[in-house]
Amino acid sequence: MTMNRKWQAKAALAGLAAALTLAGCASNGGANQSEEKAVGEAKANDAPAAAAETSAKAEPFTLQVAVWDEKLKETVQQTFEIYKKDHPEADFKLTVTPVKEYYTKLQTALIGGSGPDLFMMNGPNFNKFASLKLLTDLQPLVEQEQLDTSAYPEGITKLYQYEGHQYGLPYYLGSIGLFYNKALFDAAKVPYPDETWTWETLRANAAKLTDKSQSTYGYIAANDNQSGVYPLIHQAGGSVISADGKKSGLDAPESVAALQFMKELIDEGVSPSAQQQLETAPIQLFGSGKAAMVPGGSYDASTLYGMLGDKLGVAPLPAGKQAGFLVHGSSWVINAKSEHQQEAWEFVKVLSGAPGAELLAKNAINFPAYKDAVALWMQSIPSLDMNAFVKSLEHTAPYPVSKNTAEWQNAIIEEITNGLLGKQSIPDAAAKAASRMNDILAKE
Amino acid sequence: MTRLYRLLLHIVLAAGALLMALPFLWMVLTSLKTFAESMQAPPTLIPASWQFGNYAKVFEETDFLRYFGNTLLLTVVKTAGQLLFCSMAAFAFATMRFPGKNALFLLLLSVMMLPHQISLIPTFLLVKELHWLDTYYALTVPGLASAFGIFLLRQFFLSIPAELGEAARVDGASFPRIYARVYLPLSAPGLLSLSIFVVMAAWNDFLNPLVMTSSDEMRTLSLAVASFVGEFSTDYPLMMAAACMAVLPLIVLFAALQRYFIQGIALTGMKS
Amino acid sequence: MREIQIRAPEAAPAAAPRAARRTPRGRTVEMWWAYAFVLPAFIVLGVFHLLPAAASLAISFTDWDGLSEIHFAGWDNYAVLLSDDNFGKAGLHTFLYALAVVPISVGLATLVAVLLNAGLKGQAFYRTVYFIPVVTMSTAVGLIWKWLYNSEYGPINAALGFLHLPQPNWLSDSRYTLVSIMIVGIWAAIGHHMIILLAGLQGIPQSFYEAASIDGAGKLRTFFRITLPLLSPSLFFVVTTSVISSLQLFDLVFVMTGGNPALLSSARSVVFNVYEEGFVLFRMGTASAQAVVLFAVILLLTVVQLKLQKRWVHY
Repeated sequence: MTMNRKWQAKAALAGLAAALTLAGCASNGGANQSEEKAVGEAKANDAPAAAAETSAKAEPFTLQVAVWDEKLKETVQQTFEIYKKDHPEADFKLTVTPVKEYYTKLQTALIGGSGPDLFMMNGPNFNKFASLKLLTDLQPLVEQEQLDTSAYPEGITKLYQYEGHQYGLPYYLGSIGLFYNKALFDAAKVPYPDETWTWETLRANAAKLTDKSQSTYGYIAANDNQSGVYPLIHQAGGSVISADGKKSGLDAPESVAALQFMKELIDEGVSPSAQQQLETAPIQLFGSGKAAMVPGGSYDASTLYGMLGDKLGVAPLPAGKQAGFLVHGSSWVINAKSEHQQEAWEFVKVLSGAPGAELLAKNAINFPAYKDAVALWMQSIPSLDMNAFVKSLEHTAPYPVSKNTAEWQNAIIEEITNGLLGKQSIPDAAAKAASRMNDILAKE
Repeated sequence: MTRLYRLLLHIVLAAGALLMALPFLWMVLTSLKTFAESMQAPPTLIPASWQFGNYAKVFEETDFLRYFGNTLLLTVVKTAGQLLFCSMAAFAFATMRFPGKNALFLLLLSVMMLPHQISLIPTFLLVKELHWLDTYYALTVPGLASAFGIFLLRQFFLSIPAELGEAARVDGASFPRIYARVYLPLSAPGLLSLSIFVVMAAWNDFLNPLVMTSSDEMRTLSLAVASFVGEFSTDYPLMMAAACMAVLPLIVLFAALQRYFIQGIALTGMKS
Repeated sequence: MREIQIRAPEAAPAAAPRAARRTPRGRTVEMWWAYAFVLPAFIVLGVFHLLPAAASLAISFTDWDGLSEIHFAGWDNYAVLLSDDNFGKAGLHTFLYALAVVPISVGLATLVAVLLNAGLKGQAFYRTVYFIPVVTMSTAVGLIWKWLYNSEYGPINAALGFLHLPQPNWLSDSRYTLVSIMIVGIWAAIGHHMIILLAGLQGIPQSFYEAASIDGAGKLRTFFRITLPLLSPSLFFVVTTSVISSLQLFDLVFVMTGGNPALLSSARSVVFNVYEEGFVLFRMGTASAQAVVLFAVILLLTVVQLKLQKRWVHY
């Protein structure tokens, strides 16, 4: 009896899967996609047969999953255990590739027709992967199942839309805050930073916290796009990319002011130089107690807590003309060529849904994109009040992306670094970065 | 030579040797420090407390044994392949007459001139078409033979008196028999030299595995060492521990087979 | 080192068994066996080396991205290279790298080889130590040196500070990034060159030196009049291979810049560009064009060296 009911449920599911595949093709069937459509139809025809077989003897399958963060290993493993309860025949293999090589490796594998079934994706690389048709369009699935995307902040959901279609389900957010070292603050008798701080408070206090004899710095003007440069540009009232995504905003006076602020802090000796940061990463400098403050992401919290323990504190970023930063977040996407589309989709829903988000939160990995799990995350490191990360979300703008984001980001890093190094003036650096970025944007 | 002159030579050579060895010494010492101590300015020389646990940590945090196994596997397969295929071809070039021999030999010399990078992209595309990307095939098959190996062994075979082969032929021995029973046994030093080159190149190869593999399961030591920079970007002692373990096998092998290493390398210098 | 001389290649004639070759049938048998012997190696070489090299040339005239349709692009990719800032930089860096690394590493290796050849005790020990960098994987070498160069926590600047010498920011100061990589390249190459030169030195008959000492020639005179000319074939080999390998600079750049765009802009090499264009940006056409240009330069330089060798190499 129970067996029979199970079988029926699975057959229904298989039928649904077939319908979905067809629906997917119908909705994106453009003029050039006849080939893709044919493949989709073939798959659809196979699906019921394959599913029937599955139900007969629960054909085992393996989901290949890829992430770039070693810290996620256990969490994703635990999330899989939850998924496995409904899919006892499932097995899974997780690959962790350092972020520096992650996208190159993925792209190579996907273009080669292989690669993981589902994997994590970030904003700067998303549009390129989607435009190369390497990702599965999730829109039909989202619509069919009436998935509630309002469970996630709108900005992050939008980040993973390509031509109006959802391709990724949000996983975590990169909220940026100002980490500080309580021991260094106490020693210098400076009050801890809070939401009233502005650029000028930061500058004044950083000077008090700098101790040249100990080679400790008050602040690290981090030469890092996401945590250092973009927030300052936003706070100065500028933007990295125009709203229509066609023009760089780096040469605007606001952006120049932001970069100038970084340069001044470096020149005043309250921040390690761009050179030092090239040799030793800001997080490493701060984590080893060499600096009192560093802007960093919610993704850094557990690492820094591991290095500094109870000495670690976090506050909202100081405000310039306005407060906040450009919010980024990652998502789960599915390999368009995966042979386990339906299974991958089921797992993505678990990962990005409540169960996955709760594990992400409990293990203190990062700010879950799934809103209901945020409260859980805030308690994950008892000695650290992560409210700062939540509060500052009120003042954010979307993360700057276009099709070839990774390419122009490199140009920005190069020019700004050269500016901070003093090899060119800050206005020159901003102008060059903007013109190189505009060249790349023009080709898109 | 006067005593003073000898002493002077020793001083110069020892200073040079120190410059050669210091980076390795620093690697070992750093690998045994705590993270905090490695971030001390000015740096300490001797670890305040010896962190042998760093080595265990590399195994805990990465699949180091797997990388080691992959590297060993591709090294063994490539070496075996080259020894067999190169010696066979070299035997034909050194002892046999056949139409097209000169043309083929010229082809061989031209392959030897090709820098590896020029074939990198098409080889990648070919491997992709074969669906070999991220498999052991991609790591090994393209390296099963080399023009250099054939050339090296041909030189060896040429130095073996031809009469030996002729005598065997008169006795009715077949070509494979002459190859296996006359030439191979006499060329042990040559085969060993070639193995050493192949082992060195295969163990340390970076660009090929970088391009041909993408998953963690296929990662080689060389790739792992490079990617540790990202993985442990906060922990130099761990990176050094990993690097230490990655380079040690070849250093040990070199120490054990020094004579053959040096002979093999010196031999390439003779071929011009 | 003795075996080497015994086994030095002779210009021996093809040594196949004459007896068997008398009959046409015997010749046919020999031919088929020969083809069978060379076949496996030539399949591998043909499929994975020769054909891809030819294909590279073909792809360099297309706009392929590895996914979409291929279009013929004529000389476009080569024209783009002329105005490509990155390629210009890469070419310059690669040229400068070879220009510094080849003469310095060969020069130092010659010095070490000559000193080692003086018959000191402990020769084997020195030889071993100098050779260790050669067997070490370049990624590990890059990693170690990156840490040695760290301006705050590395030993090099600590030592320079102790001696009251200037302490540059080796890798992170764009003026020195390439120089820092050159130093590592030299360090890693000396052992290899030294071994070849040492073998060359040991092949010089003692009688030459005896004759020189009877003539009362000084050490320097002996070196320039006897040692150097007789060593020239080995030197020629070392220089030629060293030029080729320095032009293929990649691993050290990859590891030591850590992919940072600012550091790369002062250290990217041609092979790095090929990698980046081909496997990061998936522009197979321009990547292949760069590889073809590199090959042409290597070929040209090798031919030039072969021509020039008549002037200075004595066999």
